[in-house]
Amino acid sequence: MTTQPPDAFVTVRDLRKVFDVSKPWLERTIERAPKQFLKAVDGVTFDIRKGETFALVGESGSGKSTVARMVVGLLPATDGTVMVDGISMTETANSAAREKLRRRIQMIFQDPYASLNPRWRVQDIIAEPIRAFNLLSSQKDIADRVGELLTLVGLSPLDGVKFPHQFSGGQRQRVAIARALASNAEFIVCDEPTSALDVSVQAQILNLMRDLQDRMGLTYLFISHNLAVVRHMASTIGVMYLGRLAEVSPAKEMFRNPRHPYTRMLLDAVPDLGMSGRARIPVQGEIPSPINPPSGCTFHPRCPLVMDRCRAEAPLAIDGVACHAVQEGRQSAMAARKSA
Amino acid sequence: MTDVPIPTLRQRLNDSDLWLSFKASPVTIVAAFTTLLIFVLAFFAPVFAPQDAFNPAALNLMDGFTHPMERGAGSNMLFLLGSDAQGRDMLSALFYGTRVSLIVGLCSVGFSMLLGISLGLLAGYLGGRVEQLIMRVADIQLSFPGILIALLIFGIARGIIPPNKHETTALFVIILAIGLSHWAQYARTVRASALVERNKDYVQAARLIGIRGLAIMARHILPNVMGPVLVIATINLALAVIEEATLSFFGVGMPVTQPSLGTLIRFGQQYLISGEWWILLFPALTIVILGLAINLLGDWLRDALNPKLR
Repeated sequence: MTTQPPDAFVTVRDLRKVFDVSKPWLERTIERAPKQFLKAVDGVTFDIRKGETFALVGESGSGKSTVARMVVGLLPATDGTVMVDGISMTETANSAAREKLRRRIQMIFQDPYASLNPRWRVQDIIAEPIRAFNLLSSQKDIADRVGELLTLVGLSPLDGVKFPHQFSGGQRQRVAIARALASNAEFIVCDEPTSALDVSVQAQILNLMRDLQDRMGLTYLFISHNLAVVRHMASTIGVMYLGRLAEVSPAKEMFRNPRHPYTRMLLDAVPDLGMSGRARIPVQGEIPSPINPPSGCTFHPRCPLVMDRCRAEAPLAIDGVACHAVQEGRQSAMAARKSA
Repeated sequence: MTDVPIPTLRQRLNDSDLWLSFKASPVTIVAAFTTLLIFVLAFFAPVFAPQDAFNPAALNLMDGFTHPMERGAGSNMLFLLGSDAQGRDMLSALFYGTRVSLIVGLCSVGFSMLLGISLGLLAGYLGGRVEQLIMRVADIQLSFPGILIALLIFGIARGIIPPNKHETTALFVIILAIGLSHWAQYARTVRASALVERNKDYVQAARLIGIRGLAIMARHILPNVMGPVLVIATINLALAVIEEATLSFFGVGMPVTQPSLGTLIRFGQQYLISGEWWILLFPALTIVILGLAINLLGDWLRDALNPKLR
């Protein structure tokens, strides 16, 4: 059994998820095809301190959302541990404590059009966690609490009687945030909470989330593919590639000095409104299939610093970076070549 | 966003798409009115019927075979739709017969809905072996004509129930037989919708806070899959009435003491050759009108609930 570092609130150790994507038994037998497995998440390790925001970024298919779903317990992990405040989410032994922990963990989903039941009134949607955990008993107390939560996220208590389709996307995401706060959650997993929203509304929702974090000391695991959003929100960033963490660095540090070649590539892909004329490495290729990933370091077919060692041997994370080139100091050579 | 007045229930109904599309379709209005009229006349048969048609004491044998719009030879009563061999007023017989037909139709639709929705939800939400089992049984059932299955169930029930109870249990047996022959359609529809709904994030959000599977099925998924089910139920009501009439026509449905429209047609058919056409014609017309009206309502409901057709 793993223990948590003293300052960590959420600890994820060596998390793995393998999906069986084989064809049905009959077809497989007739075609003599072997079983096929997809390693969606392949050994992910990170810590989140209380009151901080840890962001996971990466292209689609990199396994970010799978990590999120395993961390909240919606998806059972194939291997590895998730611990929140000293209690293991993944080990079944202490189920009573895990049940208590459930109240303290909530999730905000990507699509606010799908995450609210269209047939329920907003007041019932927000009250569902309160009723499920028996936090308040009288109907009046529940109604008061729902009104309070609606005010907290910038809506009116009178909005409670409406149905989700009577709100805009941003307002619905506010409702989803109110639901996440209803059970006094301390750790909130946000799975691309703004990517389905208009750019103008994104900022409002992000500011609301930061504001709530400051006021209530919330801890966020923030999943996103948008680096601008992550820059605004995160204190620490983990860059995922094909189910593995390529780099974990403090947010400011990563934007100032990206170390892993993949991080560098992602940052170079951000449109440069300043037209600074800075040299860039254009994004090359696409993310390979996780069913049949490349050997060694899975990034090697796209990496500008690739060497024979990268094709043969998967790099271990040292000081937050999993890259042979960085560890061997070859990366500075490239930077020098670029400036020349 | 806060100063927008919250509409009352009445306003919401007035503005609802369903009401607007109802108002815009004269055919639907006529169909709804006809259905309503038939329902009211049937369920309040003792109030509206000129004669207590299935009480032998109320009949006068001298009135037998009175033509429509003529007065009976015995009682001098006006027979709008004529009378049968025993002097029974066909109009009153229709009211009572439609009542039996509608009771069988409504109860069997309710029964098959209950069964089909429950099994469909279980299959769609749980998946795996449960789904395989339920859906394969449904496939097998759907490969036989419904009437054949109803006949089979009816026959089995006849074999189990002692003969002296056949008459009293006939209503329940036929409801069971028709109900069991239609559940698969509901199960398929509900399963398909539940498969879509169970992967939506609102179901994940409910699972996250530890809501149990049965509660998620009943409170979250069920309200979202009811639209297509209501359409099938409406159309199946007409089908169930016709199926019951078919069974009764074959003589395996409702007994002579509680005749349905099908039983009335079976009687009437015996007199057709000898020229007493009205005994057959009016029950048959009633079934046609009822079936048509309910089907038109079902078609309207299907189109109104399908946003792509608007």
